[in-house]
Amino acid sequence: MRKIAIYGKGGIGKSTTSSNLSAALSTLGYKVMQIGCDPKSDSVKNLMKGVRIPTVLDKLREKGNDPITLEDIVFEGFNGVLCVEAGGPTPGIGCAGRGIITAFEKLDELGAKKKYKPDVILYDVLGDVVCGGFAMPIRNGYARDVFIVTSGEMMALYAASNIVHAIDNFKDRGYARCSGLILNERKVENELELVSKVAGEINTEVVSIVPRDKSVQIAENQGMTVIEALPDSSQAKAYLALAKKVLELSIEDDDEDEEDEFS
Amino acid sequence: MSNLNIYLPPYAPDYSGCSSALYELGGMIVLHDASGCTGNVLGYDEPRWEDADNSRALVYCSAYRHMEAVLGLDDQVNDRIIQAAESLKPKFIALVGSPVPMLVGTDYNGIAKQLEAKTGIPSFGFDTKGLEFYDNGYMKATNALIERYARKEKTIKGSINILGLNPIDFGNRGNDKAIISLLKENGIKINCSFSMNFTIENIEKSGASELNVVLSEGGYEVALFMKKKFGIPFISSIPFGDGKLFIEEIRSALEGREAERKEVRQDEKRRSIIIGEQVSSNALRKELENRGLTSDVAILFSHRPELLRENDYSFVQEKDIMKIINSGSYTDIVADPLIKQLLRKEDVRFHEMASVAVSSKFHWDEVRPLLGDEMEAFLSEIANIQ
Repeated sequence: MRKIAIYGKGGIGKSTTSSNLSAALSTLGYKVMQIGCDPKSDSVKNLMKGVRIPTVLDKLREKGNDPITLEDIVFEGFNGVLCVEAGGPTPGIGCAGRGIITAFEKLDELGAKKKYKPDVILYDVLGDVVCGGFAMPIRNGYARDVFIVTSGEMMALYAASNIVHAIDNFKDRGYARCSGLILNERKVENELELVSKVAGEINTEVVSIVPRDKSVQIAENQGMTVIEALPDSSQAKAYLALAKKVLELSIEDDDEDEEDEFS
Repeated sequence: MSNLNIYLPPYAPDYSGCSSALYELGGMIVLHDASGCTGNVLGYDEPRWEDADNSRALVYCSAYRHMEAVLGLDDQVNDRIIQAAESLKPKFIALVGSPVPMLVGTDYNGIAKQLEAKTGIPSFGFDTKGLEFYDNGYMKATNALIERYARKEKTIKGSINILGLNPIDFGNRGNDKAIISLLKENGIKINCSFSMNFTIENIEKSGASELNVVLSEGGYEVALFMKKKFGIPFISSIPFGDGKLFIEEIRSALEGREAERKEVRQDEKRRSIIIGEQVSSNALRKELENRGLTSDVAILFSHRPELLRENDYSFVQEKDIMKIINSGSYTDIVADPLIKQLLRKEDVRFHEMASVAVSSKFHWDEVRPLLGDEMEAFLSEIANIQ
């Protein structure tokens, strides 16, 4: 089983990249579970024909003391990709980071990994490692590899650098490692050169390039990923190349005791 | 408002159970809190702390402060722990969680890894939250000890581990030693008696047992864990009076046969309700039904659905207890003395069985000895045998 977290600045295209990556991995024959870890809860909607699914925290709120089941929170999307949204608190109150932790604990308690046995778990995480809750996906037992989505824009690179520093800070806690930057092009001048330079400064590298292409918008307007809507497009090929690169660079854990590690 | 308690105090929480499971092993137990939870553990849930005959365990408070929580200054907390550990040289370090670090998402396992790397002392982190019952914390601590220390060894025929022996369930007035003596007198070898009168060396050998005997709910999940890890089967029960029923249950499990049970005619005019922890209440029910008194069980803490009988009650809150004991369905109630104040009916007999998890230091000196003539007399009194 591979456990991968996708981080990056808010609005940089993490959910689009994650969904297309999940869809691409599924077409390569992998069983994928994508977990949206952002209170906005829009990570998996393009895997679900544009329909928003109930989040783990929605269900916990709705059911109160009644137990929830995996069927309440895990939904099968495009090509069998298992979709989960952690969700968030009531806007303006509560604690979003704690919400992520609670959602993860609930998935553990219900034995999600044991039941579905995915080959790849993809955590699509809110912009930055702002507090303990948003570091949860990179803690021991969750993701092993972190890929950071960035463009050549200054704020995106700044966020990428912050995320790498957060990962470095927790090296002795056995957290995930940074496995590279995914350049989601925004047509910034000398974009690859700029991003590669920053990557070098933070001891990582650009591992894949996703070109800016109108096919992404066309697919999203239909509530789909490019892989589903335009499978023969050059953009779909770019996402497939990304999927192969992620497989090449990520650690595959021995699944013997997976259920214990997750639960 | 269904969780509102007007008459009863809060029950012992998870961090108390966690501390209880580690207490005797010579480790440094650090409650990660500002000080209130440490006070709760040592003042209200740990009768061994007050016992002058015992040397006190190394239980400390991390002295977590406002800005440490807000700014995530885990390193400051770690430095204090490391400094103390270097001077105390404990057998292990255990960082035990409480509500505030829970809210800021403290990574206990990550911190434990750092503490171990810096001190070379085995370190544990427990994400107890103060929101669960003591049985949950007990389970977390005991499973971690087994994961760390227990080895798979050649099975020693006829030997057992005891799981769930802790003062929150059994008090600190000799029940632990009496249970251990009863087993020894009956030729049953104990490899490890989790979590009283035991050592890390005992834990190392616990994988050699042929059977696990679960004495309380906290030990149940541990038994499931050991079954998976070492293939050790388990039963759950506790002894009462002469302990014969308990010994027969263990012997029959070791010999792979059904336990002998006598059919006793039940008194149709009387029915009792036992309110408390599930494993001990179920064992008490067997004893009472052996004496002709049909009994139901109402569980205050965590429970196992597979151990429930048709008329049992789970997830019982204060208002449920009031309803049950005043329903007219029961002639006898067996429960902690604090529950007596919820009884409004005069024609119901109330039999006191103090539970540290409920009444804490108010009644922990009155925890009944489970074995011996006094208990036999008590069982006869409940069953109304002259």
